[in-house]
Amino acid sequence: MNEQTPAQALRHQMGITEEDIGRRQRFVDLTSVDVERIAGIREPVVRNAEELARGFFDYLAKFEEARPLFASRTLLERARQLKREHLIALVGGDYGVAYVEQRLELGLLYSKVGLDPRVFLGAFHFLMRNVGAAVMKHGERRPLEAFESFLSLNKVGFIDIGLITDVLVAERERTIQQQQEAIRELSTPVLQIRERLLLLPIIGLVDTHRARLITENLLQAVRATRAKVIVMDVTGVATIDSKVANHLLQTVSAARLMGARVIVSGISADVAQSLVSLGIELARLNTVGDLQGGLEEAERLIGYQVALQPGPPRRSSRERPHPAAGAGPDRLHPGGAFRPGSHPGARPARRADRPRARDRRRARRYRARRAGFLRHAHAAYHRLHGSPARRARGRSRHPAGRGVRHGPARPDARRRRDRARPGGRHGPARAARNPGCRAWQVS
Amino acid sequence: MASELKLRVENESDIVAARQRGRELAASIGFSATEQTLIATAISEIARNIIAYAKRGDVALDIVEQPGRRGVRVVASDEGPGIENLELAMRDGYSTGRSLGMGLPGAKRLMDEFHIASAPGKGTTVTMKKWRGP
Repeated sequence: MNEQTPAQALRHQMGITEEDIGRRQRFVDLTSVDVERIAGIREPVVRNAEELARGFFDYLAKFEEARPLFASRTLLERARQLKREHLIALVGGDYGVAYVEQRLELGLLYSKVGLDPRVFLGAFHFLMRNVGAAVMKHGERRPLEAFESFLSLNKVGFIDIGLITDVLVAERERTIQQQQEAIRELSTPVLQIRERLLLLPIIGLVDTHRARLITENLLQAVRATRAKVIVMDVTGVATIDSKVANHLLQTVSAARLMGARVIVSGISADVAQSLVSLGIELARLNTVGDLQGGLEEAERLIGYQVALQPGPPRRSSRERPHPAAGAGPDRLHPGGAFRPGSHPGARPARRADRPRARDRRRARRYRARRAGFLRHAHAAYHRLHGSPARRARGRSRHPAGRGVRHGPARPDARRRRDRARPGGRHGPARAARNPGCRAWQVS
Repeated sequence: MASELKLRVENESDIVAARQRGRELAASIGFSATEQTLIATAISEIARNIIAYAKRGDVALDIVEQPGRRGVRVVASDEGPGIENLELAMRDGYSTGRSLGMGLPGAKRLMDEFHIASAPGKGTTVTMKKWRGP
């Protein structure tokens, strides 16, 4: 037994039987009279088949929409050959299964290159026009007869059009179906949010097939992750009727049998009303308004405590070494952590991987403020509102409230301050004699 | 106006199409989002019944008018086995299939008017209407 050709397979798939072919012939009113007339014009069409086919493809080549057909040489050659065969078969008088399969093969080729049906129709019309011209030229002396023959031929042409468009539509539908299948597979994810907590977002249409997929995926995930709580979010389901509700309930029951609790979230106001009107009892379900609430409830059930930290988590310096602390000896100071100004007896040297205390304080403060938790106010705030000691720091005065602590307070300070006071010394001020002394010691 | 929309119902994607059309039609004469959902759900229920019991049928949607009010009419008809005991079929929780048994009584509660005609072997026709506003 020989293999089924793609055209044969397609014919069976499309349900085109001999009976169906007969019906198609009746639709265009193709009778034995027509077949006889067509036989009379066989000669001119067969003679011109080559030229007519070339004209057909030249015409197609003019359109951008038909470009893919001309991209592949092998496909184009096959199409040309099929078209020549078709033109000869068109006047052959036998419009049975073999003829239909020949047509289907060409249609399959067209659909493979994504030929636009409108472009095909245009080109086919052009072809029939040329065939008509050839027929009329052949029957110049008996134009009426030639015209009638051409009309008969046209009936076959319409059968052809029906077949080709059927193939194009069928193939398109098949593509759509495949895509739908793919979307269905994609659209039932089960996500693990935390240890033993799963999220099952359901979006779009829930039909029997998909409900089964959802249940299957979920139960597998429950087994694999030993989940205790599942949040099923139905925000993306626009309409829930009794059947969908039933599917959801069954999924919930199945999960419960495996020891997982299900929280349903995201039932919209509209859906809630229609479920109540329908009379579907969902009290058995643990329902929560939205996904956020669902997750919170789930965490509570498992025993997670989620608390806001006063600041963002601090990373220890060990986790993230300071960029300055490279592994291996420092190139500039191979002896070790050398800090300019460090000397024996001074504070222990700052660890090289640790920013200065002031910088750390500042970084902590600003980080905290960024996160929205005000741990320490900005320095300027202290200067305005803080305790007197903090306020004073900005002015650099001594707590005892006497003179300026560091440096001159005003441009002319030296002149006035340095003046001898009542009971004071004469001569140059102490501050001038000894720059290290502090002004408030003057008295 | 008689802009009747007749939809063939043969598989589950036809149900989706039918209730989508129902929603659109309801929206076009000003039903609120909630009422649209109620109508869509009712269409969904009876269309599911068609597929479950009669395999195929038709759902016709149109707009009906009465003095002072407008509404949506849904006529679902099939040539399936029909319903033997209508009273039982309209009871909550009764189902000859393996469903919740909420379809017909639920649809009745979802809509304002509900009429069902059926006899064994004669198919089933469900006519239901929802009026807009008070």
